[in-house]
Amino acid sequence: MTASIATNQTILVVGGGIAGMTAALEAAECGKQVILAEKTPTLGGRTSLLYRYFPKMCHPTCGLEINLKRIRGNPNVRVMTMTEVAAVSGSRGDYSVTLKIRPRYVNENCTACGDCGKAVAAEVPNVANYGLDKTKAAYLPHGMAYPQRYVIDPSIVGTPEGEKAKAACKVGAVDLGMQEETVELKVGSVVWATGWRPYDANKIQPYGYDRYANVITSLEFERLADPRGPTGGKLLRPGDGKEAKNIAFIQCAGSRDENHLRHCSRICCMATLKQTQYVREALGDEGKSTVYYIDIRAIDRFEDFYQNVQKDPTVSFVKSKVARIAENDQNGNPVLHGVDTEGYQRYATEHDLVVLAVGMEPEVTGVKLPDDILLDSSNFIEGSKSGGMFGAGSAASPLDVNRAVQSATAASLKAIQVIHKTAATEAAI
Amino acid sequence: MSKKQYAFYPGCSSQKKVSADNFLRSIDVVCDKLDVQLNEIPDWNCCGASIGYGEGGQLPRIVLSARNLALSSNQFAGQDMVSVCPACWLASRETAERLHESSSLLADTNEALKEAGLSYSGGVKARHFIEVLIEDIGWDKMQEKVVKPLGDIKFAGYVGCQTNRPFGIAGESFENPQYLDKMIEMCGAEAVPYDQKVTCCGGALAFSEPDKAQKQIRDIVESAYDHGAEMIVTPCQLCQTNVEVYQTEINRKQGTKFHMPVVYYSQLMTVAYGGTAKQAGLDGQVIKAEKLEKIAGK
Amino acid sequence: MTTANQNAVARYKNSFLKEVEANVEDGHMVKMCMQCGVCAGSCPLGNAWEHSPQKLFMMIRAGKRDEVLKSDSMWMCTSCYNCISRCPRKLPITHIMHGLANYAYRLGIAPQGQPTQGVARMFWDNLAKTGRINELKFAIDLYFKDGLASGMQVVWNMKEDVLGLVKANRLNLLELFSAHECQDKIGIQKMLAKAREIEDRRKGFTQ
Repeated sequence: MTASIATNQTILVVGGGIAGMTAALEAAECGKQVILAEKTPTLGGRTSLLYRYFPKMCHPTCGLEINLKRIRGNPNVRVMTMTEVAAVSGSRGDYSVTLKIRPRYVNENCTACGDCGKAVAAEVPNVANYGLDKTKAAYLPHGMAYPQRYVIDPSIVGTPEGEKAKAACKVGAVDLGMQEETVELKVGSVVWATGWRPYDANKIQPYGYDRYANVITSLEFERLADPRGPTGGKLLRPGDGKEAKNIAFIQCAGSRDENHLRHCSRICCMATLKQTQYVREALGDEGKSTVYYIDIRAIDRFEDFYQNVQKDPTVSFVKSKVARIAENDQNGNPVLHGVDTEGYQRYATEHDLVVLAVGMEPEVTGVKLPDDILLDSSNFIEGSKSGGMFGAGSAASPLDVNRAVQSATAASLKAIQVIHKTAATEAAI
Repeated sequence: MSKKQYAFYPGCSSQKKVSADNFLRSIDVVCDKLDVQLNEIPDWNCCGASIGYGEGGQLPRIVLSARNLALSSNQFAGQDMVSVCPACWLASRETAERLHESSSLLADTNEALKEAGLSYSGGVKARHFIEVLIEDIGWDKMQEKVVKPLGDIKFAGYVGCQTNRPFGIAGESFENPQYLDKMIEMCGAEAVPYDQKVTCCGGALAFSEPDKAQKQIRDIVESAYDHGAEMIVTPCQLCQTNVEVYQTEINRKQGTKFHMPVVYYSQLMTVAYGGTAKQAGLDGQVIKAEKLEKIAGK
Repeated sequence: MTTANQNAVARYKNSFLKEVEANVEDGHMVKMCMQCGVCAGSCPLGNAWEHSPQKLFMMIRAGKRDEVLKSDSMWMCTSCYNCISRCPRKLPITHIMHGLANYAYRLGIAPQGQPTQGVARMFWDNLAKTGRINELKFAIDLYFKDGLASGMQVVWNMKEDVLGLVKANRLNLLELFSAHECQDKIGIQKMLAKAREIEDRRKGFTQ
């Protein structure tokens, strides 16, 4: 790819999750030229790692597939995976962008036949399952990956394992000589759809995520519930592989906490309510979900979802921020200590598994962004000083999938306006 | 080699012939081995401890600590003020920070300090001796001086409260701090994992609410036994005294058979550095730390 | 009712929260509490409290002045700082508990005969005399607070420990006669009196 394909009429969308895909498509379908740059080897972002969406409990394949179809059919969008923004300079309508493209070691000849993966023995943590299991070091990111193209993990490049992958490929797609590339582009506007990451649960020390095997995060729980996940959809706890039947959900794990994330992450209450229904789905009346909460924030129109879950006899609610978790040495069960603020009873309750409803931290936290970008006190992107760059989706605010898509459409419209103004000014000159 | 210099605020319990007399002796050895010089602040006073809140209000307590900060600043300008007692450290550091943040509080404080012929303008950094060890001396140098690894003794590292909260040692977790275990291992012994590492011993409520405090102490000692510890090691004078001395009382009241020595980290270091039992202050144990004495005597 | 208490009631009328904000250490932070309960669950003596910190904060906002100030809950604080380290709103809960207890005590309406209150007073009087704690005198005051007979009983029960501490050179019987003390004990006494005077003035204990 050369610089000539982009002009100051082009929109750069950073991040290929549900928001970035949406922002890119909205602009492209208005006839704008769009470059969609994604850091990982595949589009889809964290949405593709969910088991189901709330409130309709459908699978993410649904929304993602429609978007992928639109992308495949639209020549105005150019997708660049394994690509990060290294620098941005200039101003509204006239930005110079430096992109860094990491080597995939697999070219476009790849047919995703899987022979390289079979040939390789080395394994790496499986990012698509939040590291709960491992995958071969030559791998397809996940079933819905776009592009459907394998990736060779850099750890085996230059080793006999890498050579095995190359030898196994019948179509000459494995190219171990690929190097990192740098590309300079001109663009008129930038949409930052850089998304979020789960707050590092190790930092929430009273809950012992770093010490107790049977304390996991809500994202890991999505993977346990998913039939394509590491346990084939069985709720097997990591400590000993036993089926977890009595499951605790701890809300505000890292959110609304001056020691961690200041903001309410907004999705976690609904995510937990949804996950109690995974327990019901997997175990029927035998499952038991207990939600420990400060207050349930089933944002706006989802109150009915909350009310339905409240009627479910397998789900109970304890109004309390859990003070700490200990572990029963005998059976590996986490023991939750705290006070139920409705009645002020102290409890020390044992569960098979604890799911921490971890908060949303902007993925750009700790990343050096262009000086022009404006962040709020939680590092969500508010916009830019020169007015030509916008935040979209969960990069802009803690949002669920539905609202991330709305936010992306709005950001896309703003970017289109920048391009139109630029075009009009140039025409006048 | 020149010694690192610090203004030293020992505190009431770390004086000759009082409750942590033995602690102070072992601190002397550690300082000597690690080229640290602690310059005792002349005429320092009690910090008021936590329990002082009942009778002394906020300002009288702040003024007590401010007097120490002022003396430190006058006598040893430019030196950090170091405490070996967590309560002394907490009170001093909290006072230093509050006076730094509030000019009206500083003015009130100076109005009172004037009565004792002193004034304080800020600037003294109140630190814990363990911070000096870890941050200024460093693990490598501490490790180098070990000549008698403590071998097969199993210790339960008991950090307790005020060394750990609200300030704690930089980079350590409030719930599961690692440095004490690391010190045990540095001395060549084994740190057993157990679940009462940061449990409160009851503090000063050991005097006023003995049953409630003794329940805390029982939990700590019991867990140490359950996890195979032979001794408890702690950085805190009140933790040491409470957990050691009340074992007899708990045995009497509850029929337990506790007999677990409770020593200070500096006593471990002294023995590991080749010091005698007397230098390590092991003669100051009410429950004798026989295994440590034996190693020291070799 | 003491004069100080009457004055405070008159001055703050129906706003106990304002009274706490003005007169209690870190009282301005009370309103930040979001009632999550983590302090209550973190307190080592939590089961001994009638009112957990979070409950006290709610009671303050509800204007339950007597119930709060006459509660013995604050006196159960061991100063372990668990609540401070875990509070998601960074309320300095330990300080507020100390402040509430001290304020109630100074108003003269804290529960009479509360054991920790007694020990706290004993400790302070001990240190304020010479600038340093005399551990032997503190122990004697403590164990003989209910008279000679009960004191002898306590000492008898703890004789092994007392003897152990003496033998270990950690309890010096001579401290009754020649104790560790500050040289400038007069200056310290004057300084503390001044500090109290300033604080009394600020909090309206003196007119």
